[in-house]
Amino acid sequence: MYLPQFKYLKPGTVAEAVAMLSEYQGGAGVIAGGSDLIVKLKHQIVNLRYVVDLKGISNLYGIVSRADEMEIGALTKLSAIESSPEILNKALLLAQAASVVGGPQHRSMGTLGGNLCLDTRCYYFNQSKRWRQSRPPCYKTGGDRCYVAAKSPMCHAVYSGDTAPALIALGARVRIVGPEGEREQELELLYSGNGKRPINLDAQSIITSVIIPISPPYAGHAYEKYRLREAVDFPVVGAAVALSFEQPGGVCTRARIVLNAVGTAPSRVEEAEKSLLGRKLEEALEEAAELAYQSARPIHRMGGSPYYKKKLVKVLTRRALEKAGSMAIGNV
Amino acid sequence: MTNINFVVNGIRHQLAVKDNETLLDVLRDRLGLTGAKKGCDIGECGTCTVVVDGEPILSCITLAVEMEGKRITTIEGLAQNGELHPLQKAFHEHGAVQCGFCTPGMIMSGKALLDKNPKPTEQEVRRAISGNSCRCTGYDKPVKAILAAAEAEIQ
Ligand SMILES: Cc1cc2nc3c(=O)[nH]c(=O)nc-3n(C[C@H](O)[C@H](O)[C@H](O)COP(=O)(O)OP(=O)(O)OC[C@H]3O[C@@H](n4cnc5c(N)ncnc54)[C@H](O)[C@@H]3O)c2cc1C
Ligand code: SF4
Ligand code: FES
Ligand code: FES
Repeated sequence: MYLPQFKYLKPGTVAEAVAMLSEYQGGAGVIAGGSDLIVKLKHQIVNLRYVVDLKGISNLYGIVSRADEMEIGALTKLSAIESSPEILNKALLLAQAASVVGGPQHRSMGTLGGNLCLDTRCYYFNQSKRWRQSRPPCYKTGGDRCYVAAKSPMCHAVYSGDTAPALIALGARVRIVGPEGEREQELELLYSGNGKRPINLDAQSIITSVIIPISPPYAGHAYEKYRLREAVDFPVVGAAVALSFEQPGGVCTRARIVLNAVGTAPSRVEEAEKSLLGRKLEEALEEAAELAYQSARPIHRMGGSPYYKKKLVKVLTRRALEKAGSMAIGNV
Repeated sequence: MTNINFVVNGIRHQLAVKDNETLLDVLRDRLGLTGAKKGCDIGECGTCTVVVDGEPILSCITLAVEMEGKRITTIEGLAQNGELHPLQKAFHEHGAVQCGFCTPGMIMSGKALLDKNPKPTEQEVRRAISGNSCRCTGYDKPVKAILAAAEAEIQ
C-alpha cells in the first residue's frame, strides 16, 4: 500500500514547528512515532500535503523530576516510559498503561504525545480507501451520516488510547505551544467528546510535555485493560483508578475513576468517585463499581456488544479498585 | 526526494528517497534486502520488524526519510561469514520455522531482546515476540529457540 504524496519537513525547534504548521494551515500535520498517522495516511482517511516531524526537536524528550511533580517530554517513547525507574517509582500507573499499548514495536515507535492525541476508532473508519468506497462517506470522513447509529447527528467513534485514562486519573496537565505562545491545561480538557474531532487542539499547536503531580502518601492506583489478545490489540474496555487514603486502611480522601474505550473520550465517572469519598474502600467498592456500570453508555459495533462492554466496565472497575486499595496498604 | 545517510547491516548507504517511501519499501525494492517481509503493511503483524539503533520497529509504517544517521539491522545482517547467527541456528534446530513468513520479524524481535537482556525468562521472551503474529508454529517453538539461543550465546 503506497503512501500518498506529501512533503516531509523536519523543524529543529518548537517555534519552527509552530511556524510551519501555521504557514501550511489545514494541509500540514504533525508526526511523532507515526504508528497511528502512517496507517491513517495509507488508508487515506487523512490527507496531508506537509508532514512535520517533531523528532528533531531535542527539548521534547526526557523526564524531569521536581519536588511535587514530574514532567515528561511529549516525544518520550512509550518503551522508555514503561521501563523508566523514575516513572516506575513516582507514577507507576502511567508505566502500567504504557506497557499495555500495542506490541513491543508500537511502544518503541510510539510517543507519549502521539498516544494522547490518538484519533478515535470505528469499524467504518479504520479501513482502506477501497473498502470505504463501497458506501458514501460518514461524518468522520466528511459525509452526512453515521453507519453505527443511523439516527445520530454525530460521530460515535471510540477513543481508546491507553495512557490518557491513567494520566487523567493521576490529575495530569499538558503543556501546549501554539502561535499565541505557551499554555498549560488539565489533560482531561484535551478531549472534546466529539468522535469526529476528538482532540481539542488547533492544527497549529503541539503538545510539548505532560506534567504529573506526585501522589500523596497512602495512594494506590491501577489500570485494567481488557482486550481480545494479550498483545497488540486496542482495549475493548479499560478502567484507570487512582485513590488516596487518610491512612492505610482508612477512609478514602481522593478518588478518580476513568473509563476507556466506552465512548468518544476517556471519561471520569464522577458519581462513582464521590461515592468513595469519606468511606473505607471495602464498604464503598461494590457501589462504586455499580455506579460505573450504570453511567457507561457504550454503543454497538465498537469492539463488543453494549451489554458485554457494560459488564466489563463493572468487572474492570471493581478489579482496579481492589488493586489500588491493596497497593495503598502496601500489599503489592 | 531527500538524501539520507544510513548504515544497514554495517554497510554505509547514501540514498535519495522519496518523502512518502516507507523504510520497508526502500529495504526491499531499493537495497534488495527482501528478508523483512511485507505482510499486512499497516503495522499489525510484525513480519517487517527490523532493529533501528537497538529498538525493534515496524518498517512498513516508518518513513525512510526518518532514517538519517540511523543504524539498521535486518535479518540479512545476522549471519557472519556464512556462519548462521545463534538465533538462526536455534530456530533451525528447534523447528521454529514452518511457512517462514513471520520468521525474519520474529528473529529480529528476539535479537533486540537478547541484545538488551542476554538471559531472559520465558515470560520475557513471550512478551518480546508478542507483536509478531505467527499462524503456523503456535509460538512454542520460537520461544524455545530464543531461550536456547540465549543459552548458546552465554556459553
Ligand atoms: C496494530 C496497532 C495496535 C495498536 N494498539 C494500541 C493500543 O493497544 N493502545 C494504544 O493506546 N494505542 C495503540 N496503537 C496506536 C499507536 O501505536 C499508539 O497510540 C502510539 O502511542 C501513537 O503514538 P505515535 O507517536 O506513534 O503517534 P503518531 O502516529 O505520530 O501521531 C498520532 C497523532 O497524534 C498527533 N501528534 C503526535 N504527537 C503530537 C504532539 N506532540 N502534539 C500534537 N499532536 C501530536 C499526530 O499528528 C497524529 O494525529 C496501535 C497501533 C497499531 C498500528
Ligand atoms: S461512528 Fe459513525 S460517523 Fe463516526 S466513524 Fe463510525 S460510522 Fe463514521
Ligand atoms: S508488514 Fe509491517 S507490521 Fe505487518
Ligand atoms: S511460521 Fe508460518 S507464520 Fe510463523
